[in-house]
Amino acid sequence: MQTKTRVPLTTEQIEQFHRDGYLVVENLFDADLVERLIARFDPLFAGEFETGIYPDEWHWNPYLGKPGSAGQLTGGWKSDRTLATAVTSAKIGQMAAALEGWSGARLLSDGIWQKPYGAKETTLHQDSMYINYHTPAGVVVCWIALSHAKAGASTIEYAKGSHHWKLSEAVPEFHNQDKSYRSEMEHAAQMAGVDVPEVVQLDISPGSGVFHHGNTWHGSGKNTLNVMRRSMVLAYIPAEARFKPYGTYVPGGYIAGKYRRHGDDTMDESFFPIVWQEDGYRTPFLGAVII
Amino acid sequence: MQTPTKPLLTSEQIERFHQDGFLVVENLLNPDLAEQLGKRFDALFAGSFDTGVYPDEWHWNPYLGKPGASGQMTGVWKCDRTLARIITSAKIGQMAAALEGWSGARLLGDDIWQKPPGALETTLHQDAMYFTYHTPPACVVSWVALSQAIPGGSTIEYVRGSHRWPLSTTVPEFHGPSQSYRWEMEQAAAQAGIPKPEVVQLRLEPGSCAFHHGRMWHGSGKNCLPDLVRRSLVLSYIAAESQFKSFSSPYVPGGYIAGKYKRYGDDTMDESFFPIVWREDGYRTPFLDEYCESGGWVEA
Repeated sequence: MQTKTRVPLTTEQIEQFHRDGYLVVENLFDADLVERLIARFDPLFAGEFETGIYPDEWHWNPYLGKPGSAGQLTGGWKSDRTLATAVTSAKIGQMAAALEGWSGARLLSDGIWQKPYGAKETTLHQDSMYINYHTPAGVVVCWIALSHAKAGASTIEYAKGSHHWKLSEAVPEFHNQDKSYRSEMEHAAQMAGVDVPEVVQLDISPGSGVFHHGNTWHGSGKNTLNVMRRSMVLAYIPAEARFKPYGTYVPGGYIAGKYRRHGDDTMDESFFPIVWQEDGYRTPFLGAVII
Repeated sequence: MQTPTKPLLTSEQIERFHQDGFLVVENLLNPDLAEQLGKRFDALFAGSFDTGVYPDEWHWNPYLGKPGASGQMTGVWKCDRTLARIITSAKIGQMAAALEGWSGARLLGDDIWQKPPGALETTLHQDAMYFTYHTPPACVVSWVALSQAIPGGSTIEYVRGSHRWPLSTTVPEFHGPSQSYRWEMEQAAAQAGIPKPEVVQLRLEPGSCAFHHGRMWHGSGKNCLPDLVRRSLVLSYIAAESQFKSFSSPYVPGGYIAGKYKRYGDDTMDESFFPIVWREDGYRTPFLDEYCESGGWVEA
C-alpha cells in the first residue's frame, strides 16, 4: 500500500487554511530532493528534456529570452522524471485533498518558476480565474520554495482572506504590466468592501511550501536581491473531476482544455493523474514513487 | 461532400517531389488571404487566443522575448479558429496524401513562424529526426509563405535530393546556432558521399507553398532585409492510419509534442489531437468543420 491513510494535517491547520486562504507547511521536500530539483532548472529552460517530451508551456530560454526575465515552465513532469517524482507526490496530494475534504486529489498541472535578480513582478491573480472548466469546481494549489523565498526577493505574497471575495475576471498580463502588480487585487478588494487588504509576504525555507485556495489573490514582487528565486507549483482538483460539457472546444481551456477528447468529458488519467485517493487508488502508471 | 475527389497534383509534380525531395505549389492560398492570416500573428504571439486554449509551444512574446528574435508557435489550430480552417484544410491534406500515395492524411502538428529583420538562421535539419514515434513512419510537410519569402529574407532553403540520405541524429540548436547553420547538413552530406550539396533558396509569394519529404534537409538563413517580417505556416502530415509505436516505457521516448497526447496503454493517435483532414473514402474527423466554422471567415 503506497498511500498513507492518516490525516496529514491537523484540524487547526485546516481551519487556518479556510480562514486565511493559505497555509504554510514546512519540510515538504528534503534538502537532497531540493538540490536535485534545482539541478534540473538550467537544462529544462535550455530545452534539454530527459524523456524527449516537451513541456506544456515554456516561457524563457537562454537563447531567445531577455537576460534577467522570469522563466516559467508548465507540464515539466512529462519531460523530466526527477520533476515527476516530486510533482506526483501522494503526500502533497493527500494534504490538498484534506484541506478541501476531497476523497482524492487529481493533479491538474505543475509549474516551475525562476526569477533572477531584476525579474519583474508577477501580477496578483486568483488561480480560479483560469481554472474553471471542470466539475466539481475547486482547486488547491501548493507553492513550494526551492530557494529561500523572502521579502525583496520575489517571494509569494497573499491577500489574506481574499478567497472570500468574489471571483474576478482574468488578469490579462502576468509577466509585464503598466500598472502596479497589486492594482487588480486592490480593485477586487474594493468591490468586496475591503478598504485596506492585508498583503502578507512569506518567508519560506527551501523545501517548505504553502497551500492556497483557488480564489486566494497571490503573486510576487520584483526580485531586488542578488539571488535566484526558484519555486514549484502544483495544482490539484478533486479526484472525480470531469470537464464541464462543452462543444467543439473548451472555452478558456488554457492548457488543460487541449487534453479533452472530443465528445468525452473525462479528464483522462494519462494527462491528469490521480496522485492520492483515500481508498488507496493511485493512477497505476505513476509507479510507487513517493517522496 | 466536403472532400475533393479529383487528383490535385499531376504525376509530373509527384515525380518531381520524389526526385528533388520537395515540390513548390504556387497560389495554394489567395495572396490577400495569406497576408491576412499573417496579420493574426501579432495577437497570437502576444498571448491573445481566440478559443482561450493555449498552444503547444510558444517561443517568443513581446514582453519577455528579445526584440528581433524569431517567433515560433506550435498547435495553433487549437487556439485560433481562423487559422484552423487553413491548418485543417482537406485540400492541402489531400495533396500531402497524393505525394506519398496515402489513402488519407492526418494532421500531426502545425507551426507558425515569424522572422523579423535581423532574426538569426534556423539550423538545417530533417523533420523526420523529430517524428520517430509513429507507424507507418513517413511524414510530409507543407511550408506555406504568408509573406514574401525571398533570398536574403530568411526564405526556406532545401538541399536538393537530401531526402535520400540516411536519417541523422537530432540537431540540438534551432534558434541560436553557434556554428554555421548549414554545418550539420554538410556533415550529413559528406557521410552520404556528396561533396557539394546543392542548396536551393526558394522565392515564394504570399500564399504559395512548398511540400517537402520528412527526410529533406531544410532551414533558413538570417533575415538580412530591413523591412520584411518573414511569416510562414507549417503543416505536418502523417498517414491517416498512423498509430504510436508500442513502447515499454510509460512515456513516448523523444515524443516531443505529439507524445504528450498518447494515452497510457493505448497506441491510438486520437483524432481529437491528430485529426484526419482528408481521406479518399470521404471521411474527415467529424468535429473539424463545426469547430472551424464556429469562428472562421475564410475559405481554404
